[in-house]
Amino acid sequence: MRRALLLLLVLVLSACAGVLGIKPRERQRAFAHRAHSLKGVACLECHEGIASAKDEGPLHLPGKAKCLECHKKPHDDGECSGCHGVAHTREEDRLAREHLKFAHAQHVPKVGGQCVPCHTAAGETVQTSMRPTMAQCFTCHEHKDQWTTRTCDGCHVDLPKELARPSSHVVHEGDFVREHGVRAASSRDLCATCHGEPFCLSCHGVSVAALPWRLELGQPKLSGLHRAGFRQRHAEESRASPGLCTSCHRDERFCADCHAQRRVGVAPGSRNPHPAGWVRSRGGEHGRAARMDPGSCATCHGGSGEALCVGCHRVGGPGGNPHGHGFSSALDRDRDQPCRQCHAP
Amino acid sequence: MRTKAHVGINVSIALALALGAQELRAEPLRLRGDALVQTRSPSPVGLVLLHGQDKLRPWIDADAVAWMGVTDRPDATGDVLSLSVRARHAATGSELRVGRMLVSTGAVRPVHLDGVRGQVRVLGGTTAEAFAGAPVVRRFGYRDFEWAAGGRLGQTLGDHTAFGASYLHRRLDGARSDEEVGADVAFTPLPWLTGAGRWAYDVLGKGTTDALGSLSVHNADARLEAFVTHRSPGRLLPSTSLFSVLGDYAATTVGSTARYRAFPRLELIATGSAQTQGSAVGGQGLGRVALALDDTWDGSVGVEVRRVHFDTARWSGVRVTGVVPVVTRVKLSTELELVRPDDGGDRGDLWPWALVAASYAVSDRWFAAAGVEASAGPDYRREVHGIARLSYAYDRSGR
Repeated sequence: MRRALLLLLVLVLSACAGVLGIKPRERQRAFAHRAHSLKGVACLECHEGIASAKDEGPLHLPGKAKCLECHKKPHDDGECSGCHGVAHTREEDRLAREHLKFAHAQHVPKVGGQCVPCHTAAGETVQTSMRPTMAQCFTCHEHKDQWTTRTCDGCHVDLPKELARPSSHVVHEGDFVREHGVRAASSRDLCATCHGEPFCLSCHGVSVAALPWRLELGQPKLSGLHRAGFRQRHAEESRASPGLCTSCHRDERFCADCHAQRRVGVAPGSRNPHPAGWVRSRGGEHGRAARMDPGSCATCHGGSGEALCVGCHRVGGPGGNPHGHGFSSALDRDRDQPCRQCHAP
Repeated sequence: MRTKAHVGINVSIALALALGAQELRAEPLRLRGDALVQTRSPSPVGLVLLHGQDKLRPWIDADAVAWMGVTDRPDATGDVLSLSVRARHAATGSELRVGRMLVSTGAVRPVHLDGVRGQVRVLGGTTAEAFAGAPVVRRFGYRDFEWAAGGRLGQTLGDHTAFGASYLHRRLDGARSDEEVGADVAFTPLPWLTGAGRWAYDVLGKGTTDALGSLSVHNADARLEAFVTHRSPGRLLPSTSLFSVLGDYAATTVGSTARYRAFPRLELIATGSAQTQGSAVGGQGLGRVALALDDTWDGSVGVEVRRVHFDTARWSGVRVTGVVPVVTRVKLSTELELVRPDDGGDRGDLWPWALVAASYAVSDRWFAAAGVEASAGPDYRREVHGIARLSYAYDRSGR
């Protein structure tokens, strides 16, 4: 039975291999830099002119003609780099040329004409990438100050456009809405290397033009708190995450204005949204509800509407003390708002 | 309230920056304009984003974000979300920003501010930030005697740990409406281990306002995160509100999120959490599967299932998404959602929502998208709306 299941799994995976992105072993293989080096071929023999290359210009990658100078009898008529070399390493070179300010002419003399101190992968049998990592740059250039001050434009042409992700970049995965705040608290400047003020303000601005996702209507794979039918389920979302709405929508009128426009709940003439028995002589459900989600109460009863609560809960009033067990406050009860509403003589 | 003249001046400044920036020889210069038209309010809406930097004077740059549109009322309106100028000392990263901005620093809550923010860095990894100004009020509103001030003192240890302490003081009508102190930390001790935490304490309400902690392990294909949050909904309200002194029930949530790239084109995400608030105990869970239609993930289909079960908020939902590139510059997309509340009452048993859209990248600068949104929900029987967006992006960053 187990064998049959295993066989079935293999068959399903084989059938779905293309759909799942599983690919046969690539025909391409990494170029054998190490083997050429051991044969005594200097880097500059193939990468002609690289030692004096400046910030712009060609990539100095050898073509077929250069290979044929030594390999007189090729086993194939095709372009050598089609098999001897991996496409993504050439793409990395192209991207480096586009996004980095780097001149070999300045660097080669300083490392004694050697290439391997930076391109360490050239000496390895298995090469995944020939592009030096940033840590490799830091072995000579400490750049400690630039790193500390996030001054990246000395090397990076345009970091946001480059779409480079720091190695510790975790906030864009999982639940971005919950996670980004905790990371940004201590690393705001790290966020700011890619995201400017407009990005933060698209959600945290007091008055935004429209929900951010509506501008991204063609990208449903983007997640977000207000995505899809949020307007329909926002009451449930609010009750399921107490206080979350208030952490951004601080203005007490935020909900009330929208509800009034749509004649929901707080509109003049609308019916009382509370169930029967909401307020009883000995409390009722409203006290518990107010402790669970005081922001919702404030939406309708905030501002001048607080008088409704004060009428019963003022000192000596029939509603009694509304403060919860162990309540404590640094406010002056006779002088500060809102204490004086109930406590002032 | 501000007069219409103030409104005009603000909008004029934003437009002048947008239109005249090229003449100011600001370079690199980024300009982006979005126009959103929909058959429901607010519409139409235009959004202009501008970032300008002078190549000859890299120590100064400017940001502006403004929107204009029509609301339910017949008059046009708008707002300036950001309009600030930043002077920067490149060698140390110290900076001074003046204008309208979002101040988000440390564990204390973010403030949208008309004011000034300064940051001084000392090359031992110490950072001191301070800000002060008048909190922004919606739609050019203005409140007397409202101001906020605060700051953060932070320290980094190498590139693996950062921590700091922050403070916020805010007044409304001259009375203290918020006073918070906060502490934050983020660390990456190992390439596969990341942690972060923040804690904000309400000085006036004498209790924790908001605390979050997160610890995750990850590699290229998988990530597992454990998190805890503790939030006091009453303390998040301004302390001048009567509802902030009721003595609320704080909500505590513990949960975990896992992401796994099972195959190059198949990604799985699962999140589960348990929550308590007062006598209420519950939780929620989410599972998402995304399958790419190509190696670059330009096209994809996804299914998401969610269940919420906490106090009176109990519902189940499923969401299906799809993006299909038709030709190089044209994509079709759809998003379908079906929510079923456990007890819909008189609000219906099913709340469906759907969007079908097409997007067209006309050129490197122009982008257009249009769609139809249909739904049925608690406050209406059914709605069908059209929505369209036209965007223009100008980027002259140069080398």
